Amino acid sequence: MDLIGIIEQGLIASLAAIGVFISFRVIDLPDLTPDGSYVLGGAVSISLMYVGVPWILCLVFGGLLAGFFGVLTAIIHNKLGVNSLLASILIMTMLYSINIRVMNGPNISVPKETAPMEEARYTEKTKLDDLLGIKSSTSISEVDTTKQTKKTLSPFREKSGYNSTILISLIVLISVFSTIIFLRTEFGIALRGYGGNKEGIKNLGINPELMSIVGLFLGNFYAGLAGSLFSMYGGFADVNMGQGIVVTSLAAVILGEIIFGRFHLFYNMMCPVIGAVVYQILLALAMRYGYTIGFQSSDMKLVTSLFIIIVIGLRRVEVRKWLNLKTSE
Amino acid sequence: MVELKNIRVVYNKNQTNEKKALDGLNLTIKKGEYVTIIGPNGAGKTTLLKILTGEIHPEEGDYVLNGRDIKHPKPYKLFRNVGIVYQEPDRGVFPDLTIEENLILGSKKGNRFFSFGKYQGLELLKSLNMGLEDRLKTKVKELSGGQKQALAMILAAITYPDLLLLDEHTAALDPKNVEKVMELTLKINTEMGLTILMVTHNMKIVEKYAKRIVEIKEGIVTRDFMYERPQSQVGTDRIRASL
Ligand SMILES: Nc1ncnc2c1ncn2[C@@H]1O[C@H](COP(=O)(O)OP(=O)(O)OP(=O)(O)O)[C@@H](O)[C@H]1O
Ligand SMILES: [Mg+2]
Repeated sequence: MDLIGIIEQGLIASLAAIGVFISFRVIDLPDLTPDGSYVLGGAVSISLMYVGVPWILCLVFGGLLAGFFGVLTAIIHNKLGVNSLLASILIMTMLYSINIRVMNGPNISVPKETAPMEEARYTEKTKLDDLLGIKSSTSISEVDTTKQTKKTLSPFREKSGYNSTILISLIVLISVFSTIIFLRTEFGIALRGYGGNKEGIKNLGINPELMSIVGLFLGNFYAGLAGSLFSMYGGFADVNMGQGIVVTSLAAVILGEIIFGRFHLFYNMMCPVIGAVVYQILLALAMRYGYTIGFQSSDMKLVTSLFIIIVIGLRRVEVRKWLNLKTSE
Repeated sequence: MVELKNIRVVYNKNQTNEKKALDGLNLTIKKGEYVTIIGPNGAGKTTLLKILTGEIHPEEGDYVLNGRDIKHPKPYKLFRNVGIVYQEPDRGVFPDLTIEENLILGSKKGNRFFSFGKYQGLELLKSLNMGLEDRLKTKVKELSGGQKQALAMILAAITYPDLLLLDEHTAALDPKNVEKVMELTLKINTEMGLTILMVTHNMKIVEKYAKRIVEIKEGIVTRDFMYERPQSQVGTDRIRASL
């Protein structure tokens, strides 16, 4: 098994888990928008690659646009008094149509470096092979550079000059630490305060609507960033790739909480990251060895949801009593 | 200064269950005053506080706060000038934040931040003698109800609101904590100079601490007077307190 690849995928997924952590844990506003905004992130960033936007900006724009739809969810929740879950389902559904528009179809793949090259080689070959033969390689590179300047290539292609593991780790590290620092600022404290006591925030004269807007923006920004990164990494975006992303991210957060407990803010923020990586490893193990017990990959969502139900159940005092477990929590 | 003139509030207007909660209420409170509001259940006390925080708007009547005519305030903005502490300790504190972070949050007044507020909060915390000043890194959800309520009082006070409202804020506490929270209430009034409007059903609190008493019944003020405390009672209380 390719452990590095699994960890890389886990780290990418951890960005979405950070987003879910922010909406479900920090501000306590359940939000399903990521099922759509994750896809939007990928769709936007790959589309932007075709017009030659640098890949790092593609990632950022993917995140920002996804965050914008989180803001819409928050506004519907605030202004229409709809609960956040329903508001997010509406936006998520809306995003299905929007994503297909953005991609101009149900999926899109990253610009290829090989296609134009092969194209070039093919046209050049017929001419040059017959005449010069050896000269062909320089001609290819000339064609290559002129044709490639328009499109951005994925940093995850072979020989891109980037180490994918380092690149992904760096993005995750920056995300984690900037979020930790942000949550420790005065505004971040207010955001966390809002999560625990929404009325209390209002009673201190702080605008609670602003808290929900910023919180859901951040939650979906990370979902969009994860979607962008996943698409560049995998080489494509697909309209269905976001399905169940909130649930798997929540499972990751919960896994992380089981491993790390809920201590300090620093460890709190590590929960989604560690959880997502462990989840990915478990997923790979299930794929690899699951067949012995008749497991198929489509069963993973069933198992994930059951896992969440069981863990949440085990946190309830009544259930613990019923199972004769310690109720010290 | 707070002025309420001829305030009328009707719940469920034009429905079969229409209810007049305030029926032409008049009340003036001067800066720095400490007013105790009493009255039976359903008299309209909480409704009065909701008018003052801007959560509901009167059908009729005027509300003037510090010379400003309050007509249709933004839902949260009036809270920058009017603080409130409720009966339930959990409503006034932030459970997942530490005591210190709660104080930081309390020091915010709208978008501004007063470092002085945090300092003042620490001083009040020390004066409680609950040992909370040594547990600044403790999460507030680990505190007892009485400790939470004391902290809620401090948070409401350190924004220096023009008016601090207390809706039966000692009703959920045991006698010892009632004492502590009431001492804190008095301190906030006398030492910080905040104007306080307190609703209570606890006659012991009225006897021991009240200055001006306003009685509300069926949506209007039925009595409004300065409480004359028997001298000897005060004397014994002082001695008891100093022991
Ligand atoms: N949201 C509401 N809708 C309808 N009627 C209400 C509402 N809130 C209060 N009332 C009614 O208005 C009247 C005044 O209520 P209010 O809560 O102000 O009384 P109170 O003096 O605070 O009573 P208590 O001492 O029990 O707290 C009561 O008859 C109550 O039933
Ligand atoms: Mg009441």
